Amino acid sequence: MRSGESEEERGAGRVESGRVERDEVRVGSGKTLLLEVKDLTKHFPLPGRDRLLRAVNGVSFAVPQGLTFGLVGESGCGKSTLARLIVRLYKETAGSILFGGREITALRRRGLREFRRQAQMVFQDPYASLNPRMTVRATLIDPLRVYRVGTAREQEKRVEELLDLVGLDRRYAPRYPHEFSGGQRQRIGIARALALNPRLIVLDEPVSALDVSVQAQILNLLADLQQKLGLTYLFISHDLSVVEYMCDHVAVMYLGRIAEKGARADIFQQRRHPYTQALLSAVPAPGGAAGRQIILGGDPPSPADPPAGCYFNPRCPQADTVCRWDPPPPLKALSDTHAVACHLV
Amino acid sequence: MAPLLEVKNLSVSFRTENGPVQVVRDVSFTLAAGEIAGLVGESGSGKSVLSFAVMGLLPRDSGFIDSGEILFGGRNLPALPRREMGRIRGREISMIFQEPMTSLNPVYTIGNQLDEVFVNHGQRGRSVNRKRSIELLERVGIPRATEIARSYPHQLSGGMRQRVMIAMAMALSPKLLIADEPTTALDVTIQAQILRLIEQLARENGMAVIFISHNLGVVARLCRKVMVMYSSQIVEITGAERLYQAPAHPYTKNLLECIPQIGMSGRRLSSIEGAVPHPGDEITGCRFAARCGEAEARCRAEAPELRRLADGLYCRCLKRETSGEWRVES
Repeated sequence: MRSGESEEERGAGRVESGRVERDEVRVGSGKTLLLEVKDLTKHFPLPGRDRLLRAVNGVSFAVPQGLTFGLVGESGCGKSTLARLIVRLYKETAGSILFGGREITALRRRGLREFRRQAQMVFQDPYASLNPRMTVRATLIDPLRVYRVGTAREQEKRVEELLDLVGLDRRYAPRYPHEFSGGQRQRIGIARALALNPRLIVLDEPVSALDVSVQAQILNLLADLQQKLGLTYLFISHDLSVVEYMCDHVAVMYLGRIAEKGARADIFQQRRHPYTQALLSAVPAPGGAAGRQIILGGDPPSPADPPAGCYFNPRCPQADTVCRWDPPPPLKALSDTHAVACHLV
Repeated sequence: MAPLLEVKNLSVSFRTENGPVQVVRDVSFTLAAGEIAGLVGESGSGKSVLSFAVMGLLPRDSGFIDSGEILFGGRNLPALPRREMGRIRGREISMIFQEPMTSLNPVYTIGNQLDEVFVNHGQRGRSVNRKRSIELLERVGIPRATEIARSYPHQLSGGMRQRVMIAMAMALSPKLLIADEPTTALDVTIQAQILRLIEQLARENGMAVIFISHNLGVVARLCRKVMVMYSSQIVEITGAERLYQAPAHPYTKNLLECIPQIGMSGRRLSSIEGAVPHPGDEITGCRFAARCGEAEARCRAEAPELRRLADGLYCRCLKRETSGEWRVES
């Protein structure tokens, strides 16, 4: 039994070695940019002549390797479309995406397949995103099979490693998703994303469906995994407290555009955009009042019918004539890290 | 003055294939007229079942009240004939839910559905009803109310739909509104609007509110009194400010430490190990003991009662009863 185990461990080493070869393209570490999004745009056609849903409009940002980049905004702001563009579930209308310095929008077949191995996604609803008829083992082996990683035995070993990594008992491998709680299911979703040793994980509202005590467990797990495996996260959430807790850099989106972006402190302490200010003041903080509350009137406009002028002007408490008539303001850099798209800043 | 609502030692069970499962255990609290109280707890803690019991909406074939009383304006609601409860519901107690889309009928216009509230409570006269419906829509801050009354639920945004639900609940000026996670499906800026609206309507009409939420921050913003549920029991009743500054029950304390707050990045979040016990599990001793960092042998042997520790502070914990930090008043 003992010798069998060590053989399996060596087998697992071979799975790992696949990663080393692949990672030779990796340039430097720390401050290197893993992902650069430039003027990314996605318009969906709507029924009727020339009608478009402008989900993402000329968005640019950069994600340094090994850090967490947060995308926040309300429903319909385009954050999930952006995530799906990055993992190539959608084809962009215009713009470019550099991953490890290489353009990925033109990738086809083998190139795309290799990219997807390095960029994985975790979804909001851990139940809907797991196949109810597949056991945990089958769910975790699936990506290894698709990419033909390791022998059957090595794959079994990898399943155990993955369960250990996400803090699930190895004995759970033969069970089905319905036998688990929401938090455990999300651990399975994370384990599946980790199966192929990706460099980037796109987390789309990963804790929104969970109770707070479980949410804390998952956030801690994500932080540990990042440290242990040097992962880069693109973290999408509508919950500003969670974003502040998890992210090194943050972009605030509104109606398909970035309203403000910056390092965590830029956004949470120096926020300049009226929308960021209102959004943060609307977060009900358990500690009591966090300053004066700004209550925005109305609903966010539809991306199918955006307002003229600055896209935020109909709800902006500070809007001026300039905001109503001039074209939408571009992002203006306030410092190396901080940029705001507002005429009045 | 007698409270508007007094729930006394209420226990509720559901019939299941494996025998009855008790999902609300020995719950007691009072609510004064015009008071806004928060009921917080994680999924499965029993907070929605508690509110359904108060509304008399437990599923007739499977849910039943084991023991206890729900006194509303002096009447014990579960003992009332069904017809009489039907009159109280809507007229004196109203409820709004998390998902306004599923609570509104997709094939009728907003106006039709509002008019129906008046018709159901015996007020005929189409044009009068429609006029009142439009007034209601205006009161909950819906712009172009006449036009909106002619539209269908799918044509409105989530925030607008929730306003319509609130208008419907307010139609007959109830004395008590039960709001079950009314802002959970909404964006934060819309949530802020709806919270302000509920607060304003409660103030203007002297209406009491039980605001059910899993979000402690929302409850802190809206409520003065907070009731915390854990695994089918109320474990703490306290003031909103005291809840955050000096949570009494170990569960409340742990729960607060789980929440990331703006300004605390970099620190590690604490989490509560283990999982909430299944509501049907019969546990000797405290239901939180297995996950509690402070638990002692006696916590596993003896079940704590909800005890008054100070004015407006009740806690279900053996250790707090005897800690001396709070003087127990009987």
